[in-house]
Parts: sequence; C-alpha cells; structure tokens
Amino acid sequence: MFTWLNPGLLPWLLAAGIPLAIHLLTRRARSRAPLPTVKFLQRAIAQQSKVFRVRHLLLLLLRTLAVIAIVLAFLKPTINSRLGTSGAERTAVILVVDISASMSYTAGGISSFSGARNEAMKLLSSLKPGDEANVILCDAQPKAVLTDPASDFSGLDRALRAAQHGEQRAEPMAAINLAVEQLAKAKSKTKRLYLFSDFQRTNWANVKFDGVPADTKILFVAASSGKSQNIGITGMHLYPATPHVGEPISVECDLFNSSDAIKTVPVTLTLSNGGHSTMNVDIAPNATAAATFSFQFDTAAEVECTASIPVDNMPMDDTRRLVIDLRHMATVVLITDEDVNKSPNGAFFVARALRPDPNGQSGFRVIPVKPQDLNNPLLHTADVVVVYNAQQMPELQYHALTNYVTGGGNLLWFLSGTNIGEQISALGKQLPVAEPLPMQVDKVVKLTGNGKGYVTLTEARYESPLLKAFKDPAAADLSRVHFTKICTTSEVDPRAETLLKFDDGTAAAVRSGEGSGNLLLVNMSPDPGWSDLAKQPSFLPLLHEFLKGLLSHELGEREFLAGGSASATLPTGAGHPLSHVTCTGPDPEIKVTSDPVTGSVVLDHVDRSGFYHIVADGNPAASIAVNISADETDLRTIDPRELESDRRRQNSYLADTSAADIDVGALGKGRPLWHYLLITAIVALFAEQLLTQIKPRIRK
Amino acid sequence: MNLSDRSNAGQKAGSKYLRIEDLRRLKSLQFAAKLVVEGFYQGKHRSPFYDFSAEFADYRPYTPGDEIRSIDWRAYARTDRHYIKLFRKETDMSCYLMVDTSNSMAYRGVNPESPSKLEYASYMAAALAYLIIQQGDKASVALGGEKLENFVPAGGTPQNLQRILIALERAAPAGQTGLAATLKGLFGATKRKGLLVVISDFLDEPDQIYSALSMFLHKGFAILMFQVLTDDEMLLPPLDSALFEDMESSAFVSAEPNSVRVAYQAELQAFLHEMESKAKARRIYYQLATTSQAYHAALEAYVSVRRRS
Repeated sequence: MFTWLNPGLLPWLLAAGIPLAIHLLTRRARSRAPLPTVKFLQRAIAQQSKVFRVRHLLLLLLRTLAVIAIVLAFLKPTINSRLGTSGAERTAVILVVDISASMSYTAGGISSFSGARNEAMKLLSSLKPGDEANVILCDAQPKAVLTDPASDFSGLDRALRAAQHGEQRAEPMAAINLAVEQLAKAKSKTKRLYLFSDFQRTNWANVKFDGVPADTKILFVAASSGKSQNIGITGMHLYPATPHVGEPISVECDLFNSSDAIKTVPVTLTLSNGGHSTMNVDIAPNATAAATFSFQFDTAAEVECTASIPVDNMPMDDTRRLVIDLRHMATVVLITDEDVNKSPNGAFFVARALRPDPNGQSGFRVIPVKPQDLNNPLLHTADVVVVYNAQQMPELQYHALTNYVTGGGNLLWFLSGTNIGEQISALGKQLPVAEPLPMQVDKVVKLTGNGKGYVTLTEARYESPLLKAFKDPAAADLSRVHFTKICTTSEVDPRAETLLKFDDGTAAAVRSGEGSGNLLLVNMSPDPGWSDLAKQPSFLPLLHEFLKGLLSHELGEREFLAGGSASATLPTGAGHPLSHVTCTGPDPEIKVTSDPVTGSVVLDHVDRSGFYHIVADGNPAASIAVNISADETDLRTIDPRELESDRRRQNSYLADTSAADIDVGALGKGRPLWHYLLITAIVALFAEQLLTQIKPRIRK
Repeated sequence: MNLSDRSNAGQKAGSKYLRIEDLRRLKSLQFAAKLVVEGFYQGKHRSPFYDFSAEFADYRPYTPGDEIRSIDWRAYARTDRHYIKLFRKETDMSCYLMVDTSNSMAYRGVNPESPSKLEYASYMAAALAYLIIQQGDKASVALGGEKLENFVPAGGTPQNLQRILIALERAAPAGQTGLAATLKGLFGATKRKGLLVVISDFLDEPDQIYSALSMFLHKGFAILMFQVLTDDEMLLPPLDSALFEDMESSAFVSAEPNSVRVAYQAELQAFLHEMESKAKARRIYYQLATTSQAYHAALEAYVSVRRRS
C-alpha cells in the first residue's frame, strides 16, 4: 500500500495537467493556413514513420509523466510498510534514546545525539491521537520520562528537546527491561520499541532481547555510520599502586584509536603542582597504545594528574584524570564480632598487625565494624575487607560482600570461628554460578591425633605477588608457625590459586578471582586457641604481603566513572569525628554522604567527569577523579541484526545506518520510492529531449 | 480608400498588368523575342500555304480550273506553254496565351504583400501579348480553371491588346484546377496552328494535362509552359504549426512544417521533375517560375534558352 510522507503536496498533482493544457491550448491557437499543395503535404506526412507521426502525443505523454513523477517524488511515497498498521489501530510506542557519552560524537556539525533526537521527535509528531508513548533516556541509569505510556506527546517532545547527552556509559539492557515494563503498562494492542543509539559494540554486544514480547516490533535506528574517527584516553594507571614519597612513580596513559588509520597523537600530562610533560604516541587502527610518564615526589601530598590529547570529534574522552595520593593509607574494614581492643582476641591481633603504630604513617588504616553494622558507604571506602570470626553476619551482608567482591573489591576471610563452614557456604550461595568458591569448608578440626598436635606450613607458591616477599627464607620463616586447629576443606578449584598448604595437604591460603575482585580464604587464625601465629614474627609481614598483593591489583584499576558513585576515605584523628563535609566539582548538585566516625565519604551518582574536591570542616580533605567509561571511546558499532538472541524473531527492523540518512518515518511507513520517481522523471525528460531532436525518417 | 486605391481607380482600364516601367523593359526584350519567334518560324512567318501574294515561289503547269489571271504570259511567250506563277503567302503568327484562373492561382503565400500566382501569370501574359503584337503577330488570351471561361480571339491590333489586358484584369480565381478541360475548350477555339503559351501552377494530374496538350502538338502548335508557384509552396510556410487547408477542396491537414519540410520538398520536387521530364519528351518548353522572381526574369530565362538552342 502506498503512503505519502508529504501528503500536503497532493494538490500539486494537478500540475500534471499543465502539459495537457499547453498541448490543447497550442492546438486551439494553431493558425489555419491555405495551401494549394496540401496533397504533397499529406503524402509527406504519410511517408513519415508511425513513431514520428505520433511524436507529439509521445511528447505530451513524456512531459506529463515527468511532471507527475517530480510531484510524486516530493510527496515522498512509500510502499509496503514494514511497520505499518491500520490507520485506526492504536499503537504504543516506547522510544529508547541513547544519551551516553559516545552520542556526543560530532561529524559535520551534527552530533549523533542530535540526529537521534530529531528522528525521535519526528516519530513522536507522527503519532495519532490516542496512541501511547513514552521516552526512556538511556545512560548508566535509564529513566522513563513519564510514569506510564501516555498520549502526552508534547510533554515528551519537550523532554526530548531538553535532553542532552551525558558523560555516562549506556546500559541498554536496563533500558530495554524498563521499556518492556512500560510496554506492559500500555493498553494498545500494537506495540513498538524504537531504539535510537550509535549501537556501540562495547555497550550493545551482550544485550539480549529475550524479554521483549514477540508481538512487539523492534526498530533499530542507528545514529552512527560506524566509520567514526575518534581517539580517546581510556585509562590511567599508577605504578606502584600505593606510592610513597621519594619513590619513582609511573603514570601510564592508555589511548585507543577508533579509526581505520594509524594516528600519531601528542599526549600531555599536567600535574596540579605545576609539572607537565608531553610525548607523541603512534596508535594503530582500532588498537590501544600507552604513554608512560615518570615522576618522583618529595612531599606527601595529593597531586591531581590530567592527561590530555588534542580535541577531536568527541572531546569528552580527550581528557582523563587521576589523583596521586602520597598520603594514602589503604583502608581495611575489619568485620568481626570480637572487640579489637581486647587482648587476647584474635581480632585484636589482626588489627594490631594491620597497624602496629596507631599514630604512624605506615601500615593500614583499620575500620573495625560489627557484621550487623556493615553498610555500603563503608564498603565503598574499603580497599580491603577482612572478615574475622563474624559469626553474627546477617544474610543481607553476605549479599553486600558478594557485590563488593564481584564489583572489584578485595575480601580476605579468616576461616575462624565455630560456624565458619556455614558462613563460607552462605557466601558461596551469593556468588555467581560461573565463579564459585575456590573450595568448600567442611569443619573445624583440632589436631590432637596426628602425633604432633599441630600442622605447619610446608608448601608456598612464591611466584604469587602475595608471597614473593617470602621467597627468601631469611625474610621470614613461615614453617615455624604451629597450627593446632584448622578447617578441613574440599579440593581446591583448579582455577583458584593455592598459595599455602599445610603439611597434611590441607589448603592454608587460596586466592580466586570473583567477578572483578579477589577472594582470599586464609585457613588460619591468630587466636591463641588456634595457633601461635600472633606470636610469630612472620605474622605481620604475612598479613601485610597478603593485603599489598591484593591491593597491587585493586588500586591500579579502581577508578570512578561518570554515572556511578565515587568515594574517598578522609583521615580522622582519634576522638575527632568529621562534622561537616562538602564537595565542589563539575556536578554542582552532587549529593555527599559521609560517615563522621570512619571518615568515609561517598558521592552518590556523579553525572559529570572531572575533579571533585572534598572539604571537611572547612579544610581541603581529598580529591576524587571521575572519568568517563573507557567503553565510550571505542565507536565501532555492532549491526543490530547481530543482537537478536532469537534468530527466528521477525519483528525487528533496521533504519539506515548513516547519520545523515536516518529516517524513521520512512522506515515506519514503508520502503521509500522517491528516488525511483526522480529517476523516472529524469528518464522521461531525457527521452523527451531525444524525441524533440529526432529527424523524420522518410520511407523510400 | 487609400491613396494607392485611388490611383488604381484612376488607372486606365487594361493598364494594370502593363505598367510603364514594364513596357520599357519589354522594349529591350522585343528584339530578343523577335529572334526567338523567328527561331520557331524561320523569319517573318511565311505562310505554309501558297497563295497569291507579292513573293514569287515557283511555277507549275496550268491545269483546268486555275484562274486565268494567274497564268504567266511571259513564260508562255518564251516556252509556248501555260504556267501558273505561284506566290508564298506571308502570314501573321497567332499566339494563344492560356492563363489558369483556378482557385489555387489565388495563393500568394503567407506574405500578403506578395503577388498571387494569378497576378503573376497575368503579368507574364500581358507582357507576352504586348511583345507578340508589337512584332506584328496576333495574340489571343484564354482564361479558365475548370473550363474555358473567357477567350479573346487572336488579333494583332492595339485594340486587341487592350481587350486582352482588360480580360486579364477581370479574371477572378474560381473553381478547381481542370486544366485539361480548359485546354480542350481552347483547342476548339483555335483555327490555325501557332504558339500556345500555358501559364499555370499545373497542380493537376500531369497525364491529363499532357494528354490535352498532345492535341495541340498534333495540330502543329509550338507549346511553352510556365509553371508558376510561390516560395511558400516550394518550401512550406515558415510556421511552427498550422492547419493547412486545401484551396480547392475541403481537405485539411495539421502539420508542423519544420518536421515535415524535407519530406514535403521531396514530394514536390518529384512532381516538378515529372512535369519537366514529360515536357522535354514532347519537345515542349518548360519553365518554372516563382512569384518572388521578377516575371520578366522568367521571360528572359526563356529567351536565353532559345538562343542557345
């Protein structure tokens, strides 16, 4: 069926009568002329070819055809709408508009977001009264403009006009789930889901459409041609992860070249203390390269580092930030039921080992907390979480700890306490199925029947960063520790790393990666009833090396991204809780949550990248660097047809992939025919010219 | 009535086609025309009939019945025989000027200032009549389209010339071209052989025309054909598009002259070629004249051709 995208021009079809009118008027105005030799004229005409004799009729036909074709081309006809519905049928439409950082990519003065937004607005304007619609702005936390789909198209239009692309990454899966919820609320029978995005492979590759009902038609509107030219800084790494004054420091800047050509880019690193350095980096097409800058600082201070490259079509990722905190003392949240100040509790020895000198600048900053008092802000501030004898752990906290670990945190769990088997089992239930516990804890055994009454450490994996300091036996002798009570365990998962083993073959320390973080199960306890570990000089270095080994990975990679939350731990003196904490930065409406006792400060949902400066009690306390997600730099796209998990799905359609040619209306209303009509008009005019030039052929 | 009309009104009857400036030109033609006519008839036209006239031709024996006064008594005295003295009779040449007055002869092309074919033919006929009478011969004029409408008998007097001119002036185009019928009518009106000059557009069937002319040829006539056409007939009028209407029938045809001109000219040339070739085959002088030419140019062309032959 034909549909006109510009039906207002239909009256212009009357112009097709112009050639006919001219023809008729010309015929009427034709003069009558006497001629005695008419018979010769008749013979001459009779001898001309038939085509030539009807030439004037053919000319009339061609001219009329040309006029009709031109007018029809401007009417923008389409045929056989692939999304077409009957005119009277009500339709529910959910528009998911990507507002992630990559949508800021600008080519030819038009950003991908502008193109997508214009098409979305055009689509809204094409809806009929009675249709239902809603708009979902897709960033790290997708939001629907209206609570439910409604006919308030003008409100949606205003919301779209006011919308801007942000600096966050997109979470398309969350947006699609939200869209499915919205469609479920709609009353209309016909349902459509429109996705306006650049379809970055990094964001969309794992998106599944299984949850979208089969009767819902999905329309992908690509706002990018996939041939974008962008170079961005995708990461900054600090070596060593916890630098100290006087220590050589390296800052490594990762750059990604999202184009098809080799690029040479000058990278400049600027420091807040006035230093700066520049170097050129060659980057292969669609590849990563690194620029490494070396420094050495002689004062304990917080230094803001800004890496930048020349501004290109996507300026957001041309700058990246990092804070080097030479005052930094890693924070350990110690979860225990015991009183850390009461000797000879095991927790007391653990806390004392972590920070031997409470007033010094060495060791770790320890925040002891009861299991039931654990909260997310506290977890945010933790560089490492240590669990020791936390028998009163509520079910909810296992979930929080699991999220913490899989989200990139480090968890060291001492297998101590009477119900340790149940605790570890409860933790394992919360872990992803694909990444189970490295081992199961069976029960606690008292080693009285082995003759010696104890076991010692006999095997160590010194290649591990967590134990490399003990490779030299002179450093510390781990075998001198006597363990009288340990936990029996199952076989260690081969994917996990067994760091230490007792002489009876039981695993003493096992590390495994869980999600983005690390889980270290330590089958030992400093409790005097379990071992003489607390008395041994190897205890403190063993615990410190475990934590530093975990942190060497964690601190280098941990960064705060726009769209997420950011945190810092402020130094608090004993008995001097923080009373007033504020924050200034690129996002003026940032919400600050702080714990006056522990000094943890959390910035909830940081929308914009940049340096955020935290002021505690009127004094500058810390800086936090927030960057955009590295995924936003890679502008390579995925063909939306690849996305469908169910290949049998037929209700998916793809609009043109060139930003200049996005035309949702045309796709929604069928295949466009206007270019065929223009070709017809050109051919008709060409044929008309040929016909006017043709000479009469005289038959002999 | 404008000035030219008044001057025309004041003209003496019969002077329309024989203007003073034309007469001056015709004087110069007179000598040449004389040569031409003599070329046809070997001098001052001696009569093919022997008669009693001033010029001695021959003797023949007397036979009963001859007039006694024609006996040459001197020859009888010398030879003692009766001889009759024969004299060649000197005659005047009769020239019949036949002018086609059919409707098609009224055509003057798209330019209203141009003379019509009939006017052009009348000029030619008047000039020829003047020349013929000036050299002592007799001129006659026959007018007709479908049939012989008007006939001025041959005469060699100025009065006869005047009658011819008046007849030409009064000729009005009418009827279809039926030249064969007109010629047949004229043939009946001629008493002696002579010179037949036919001035027409000859837009008729050539076979019928030459069939009629054959009668004159058999009678011993010398024939001159002047085919008069306009430039617009030769080339088609310079119009983008027109509805062409036949002047002698109700036929009409819509055409764009520019697109059909080549084919039309080919058709017309074929017709003209047929006319000319059939004339040559019958030893008839044929001359094509267009109204854009001066009419005496056609006569001059004729004279030059005769001189060469």
